[in-house]
Amino acid sequence: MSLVDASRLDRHAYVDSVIQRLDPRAKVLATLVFILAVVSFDKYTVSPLLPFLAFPVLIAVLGFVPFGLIARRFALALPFILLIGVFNPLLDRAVMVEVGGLQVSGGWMSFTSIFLRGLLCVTAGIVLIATTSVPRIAEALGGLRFPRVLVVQLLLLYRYLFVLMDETGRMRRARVLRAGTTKASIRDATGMLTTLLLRTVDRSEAIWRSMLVRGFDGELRSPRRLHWHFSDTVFLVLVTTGCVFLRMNPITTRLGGWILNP
Amino acid sequence: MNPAALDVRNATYRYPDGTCAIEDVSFSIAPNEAVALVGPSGAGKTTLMLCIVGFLRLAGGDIHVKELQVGKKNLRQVRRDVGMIFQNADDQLFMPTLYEDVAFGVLNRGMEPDDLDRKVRKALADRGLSGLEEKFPGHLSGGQKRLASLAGVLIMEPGILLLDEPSSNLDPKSRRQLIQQLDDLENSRVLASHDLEMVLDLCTRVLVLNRGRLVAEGDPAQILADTKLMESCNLEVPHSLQPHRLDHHDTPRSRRGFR
Repeated sequence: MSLVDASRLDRHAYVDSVIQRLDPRAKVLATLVFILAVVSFDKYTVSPLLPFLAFPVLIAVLGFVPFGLIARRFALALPFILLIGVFNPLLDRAVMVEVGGLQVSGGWMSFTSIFLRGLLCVTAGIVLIATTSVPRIAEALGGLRFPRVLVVQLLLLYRYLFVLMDETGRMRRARVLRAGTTKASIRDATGMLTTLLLRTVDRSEAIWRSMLVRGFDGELRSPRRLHWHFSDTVFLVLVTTGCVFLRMNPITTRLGGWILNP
Repeated sequence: MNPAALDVRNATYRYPDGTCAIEDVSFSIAPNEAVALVGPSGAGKTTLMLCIVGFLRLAGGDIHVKELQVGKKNLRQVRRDVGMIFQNADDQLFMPTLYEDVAFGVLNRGMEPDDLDRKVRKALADRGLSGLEEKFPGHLSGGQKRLASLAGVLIMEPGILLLDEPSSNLDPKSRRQLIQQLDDLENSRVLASHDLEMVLDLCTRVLVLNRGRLVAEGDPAQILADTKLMESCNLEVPHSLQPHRLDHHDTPRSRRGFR
């Protein structure tokens, strides 16, 4: 992955759209409300989670974020999500529902629920970053009185990722040119990882020095001032109302009930 | 009499393993003077600069910036007055946009946003970078990155500017542009470089470091033309100071033809 690929997600944040123009604090708060609503369901909930997909989809459409990009980023998180619930079908075999004659155990229900919740939370996060950018999110967190040290850590971590990818790209190119293949043995890969870590630490130290020389005192200040507009209030109220409504009224369950028992 | 902008007295620095990187180096720089630090790789040029801005602590001697001793207590004040351009411009550009990067230093000094905008735009315009405000610094060309890092430091109006290999990785046009920009500055400048032609263009005095020791000091045209001295320090007399010799080994390959 090159530096350009890594910054592609962030670059959508500079597109001019109704979503990108919103105050980052409104978007951060809306995403937090959304995530809280999603994770508050019990562990066997599946169908009531489906309408929540509307949130990331709408934001992505209005913010001109390509779905392919979201899917690729989600694919990186997918193994971790699957790992959380992968043993549930083995541990919880009690039949919970029957769908068209097929018996579904509680383990499969909780596994599906974990997958859906992971999908919703991760895509909401991806869409937030894509329409806001990490530095703006950090500004919003600062504006929302999050601990300063955490905000600075987030920004430095973000910068470190670029350094890491930059160095990885260089080492990978150098290796391919000499080895003639992209495949590396475990021994080679271990050696490269060690060198990579040392090089990135060196570069991070150089960046740190250049920050200190320019008066860095532990706080990253932004030249922009945050402005809360009426549209931000409207957006936050709409998202909060929608989330509370969907949390209180499982419309897919009711819809299913009406279809099965007209 | 004006105090020296920078005064280095018997500076000695040792690496943690005990190796002496700088040994008993003394010199001073007058306000607005441009001085070059030359020497082979590993001579201690960058180490000396890092000592001046207080990143490395001296084992002996002391450094004064406008009569203020460089030490733990005074680091903030020292760094207010000393700007440093690092060898790798990528390490100096860390904010998401060029505008924010240039604004970084003055924001840390608490500048008001209204003054800030005017100042940042002027700093960018002075370096010929207008219109690139919202650009991701990583996407700039090598020359633009160098000018951007210069803008980010000069906006803080440092009394002394330390430049570590400023012309490295630059194409000839960008290098020429940088030399012109540096020549227009009025700050005291310490330029560590292997680009001896650049040293001749910009500096009025040269200090030659070799294995951590100051081995010569004086007028650049005289010092850099000293073949013996240059050879003893693994350096070469710059082309512009060499008498024209057209023997076989000095004739470029392109003029020798095929054999």
